[in-house]
Amino acid sequence: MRRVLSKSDGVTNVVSMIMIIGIITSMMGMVFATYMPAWGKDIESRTEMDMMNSFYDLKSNLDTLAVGGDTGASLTTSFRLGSEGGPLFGFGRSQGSLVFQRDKGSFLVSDLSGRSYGRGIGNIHYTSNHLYINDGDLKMENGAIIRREVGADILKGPPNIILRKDNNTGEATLFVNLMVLESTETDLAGTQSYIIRASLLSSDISTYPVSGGSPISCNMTTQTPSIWLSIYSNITSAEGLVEGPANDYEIASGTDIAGNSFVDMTLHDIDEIKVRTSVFRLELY
Amino acid sequence: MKGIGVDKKGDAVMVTAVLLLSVFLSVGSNLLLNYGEVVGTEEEVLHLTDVEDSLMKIRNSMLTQVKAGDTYTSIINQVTLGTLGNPFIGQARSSGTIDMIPGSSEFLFQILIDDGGVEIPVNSVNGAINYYCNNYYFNNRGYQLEGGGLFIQENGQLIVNTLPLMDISRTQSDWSFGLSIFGISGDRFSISGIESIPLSQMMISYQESFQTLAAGQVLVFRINSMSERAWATGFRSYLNEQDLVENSDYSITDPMDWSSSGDHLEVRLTTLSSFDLQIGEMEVEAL
Repeated sequence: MRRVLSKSDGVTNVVSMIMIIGIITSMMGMVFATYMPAWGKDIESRTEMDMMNSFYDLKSNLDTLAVGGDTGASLTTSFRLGSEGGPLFGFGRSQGSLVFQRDKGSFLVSDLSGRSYGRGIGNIHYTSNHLYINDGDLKMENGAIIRREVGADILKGPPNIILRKDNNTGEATLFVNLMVLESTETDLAGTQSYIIRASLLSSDISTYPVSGGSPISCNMTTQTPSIWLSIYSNITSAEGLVEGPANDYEIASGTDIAGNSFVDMTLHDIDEIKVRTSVFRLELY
Repeated sequence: MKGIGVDKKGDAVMVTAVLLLSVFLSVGSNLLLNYGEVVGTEEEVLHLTDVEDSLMKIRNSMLTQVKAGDTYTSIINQVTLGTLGNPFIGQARSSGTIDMIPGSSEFLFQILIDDGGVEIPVNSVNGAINYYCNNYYFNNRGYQLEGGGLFIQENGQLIVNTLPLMDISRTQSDWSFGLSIFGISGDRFSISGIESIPLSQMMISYQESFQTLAAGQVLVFRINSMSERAWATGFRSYLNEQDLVENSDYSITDPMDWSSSGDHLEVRLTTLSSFDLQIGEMEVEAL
């Protein structure tokens, strides 16, 4: 025992190895604590940016197909739901979910007698689950791209609803582009990329003269009423309209019988309505 | 303690360990830097492809609006200006600039009829969207979207990506020419950076005209642009492909000075019998 206790060979080796292990451990700790989370945030942010660009591309494709009016024509958009993360450790790996809902996002143009001029319906909703940055939430309904983050809704792309007043004649024309998204109800989740092909099934433009200043209602059923309130406000303020039952327009919001939120814009003194109703089939590859 | 002070084996082990650590760190950092360059070059090449695709999408959607005569739909297309880079593997970012320049200072396309020396103006379009990149690894490149044509500038060379929508239809004795073209207007903007910029476009005016040319009348295009050489090449190539003969069915007069804004390229369709024009003015704004 005495020989073992007094033997000093090998002590330096042990001390050196412990020091080396300590250096490596502290370096790895620094990498895991600082470097990887920063890289992970970067990867997750890029995933959100790519998805935002995909929504813009899809909206552009749908609007271009509607304008072209070429039935049977189709355009594709790629969507990457999430990210596999960085090398080796998969940091920044995030999953997303993309849902097609055929019966959500109803936009109805009608008059007070109940006559319907057209209806758009269907929405696409993306949500993501991040570790380092805020979870993402993007939605497209009737041509509007809405982003929700930390409880606040932001309009990233306006719908095609235009009110034009002729400066000479004073006649007001309402242009509304309605989108009907037909697809099988789909709920995708994961990190993979998908191709969505949008095909134009039909696109019809109808012009309706409005007699006697009959009020026209644009009613949107939505889970983001605040955004549609601001959309309607922008449309009316662009033409200098005055709000009020005896004035140019009224905006109201509430909940319908089924418990869905809605926002309604009623326009008085409209002389003509031009409605384009485009029906799209969305297919997933 | 005295034993530790004179332990030469231990000294060697410590020095070896430190040397090994240094070698490991230098090899690792060298690998990262080279890897960053490879990844950076690849990303910049892919990014230029994305920009070209985005500008073509803008061009195609604008021409769709012109062909449809649609003045009440706004279409949004996005252009990504640069690459994000990756500081964690030593990859530098590259930026880009997108300019929307209305008016005729950047681009002017005039359409007129030469009636035996008397010039009759028909229409004109102006305005352009230009993109320039500032790459770190790969060549810099510029794109000009003007009048419905997309042109690429790299290393002082100009290349035609596409011309405006044109078509030629023939009968036994003559031929007619169809052209869909657009001008770009709105508040001028210039945006630099690396992010994606959504651009909103709407056609604010539209004109369509069909005209039969009388004997002795010639349809003339006058083009004033930084991409005049590419326009000349594009027209020559397209008209030749349609079996039209230069200096017989058409003629192209190059400017005396390609870089002078006072000099223009002229294309004359000398044996043309009729033409059909669709011209739109697109208002573009950055969101």
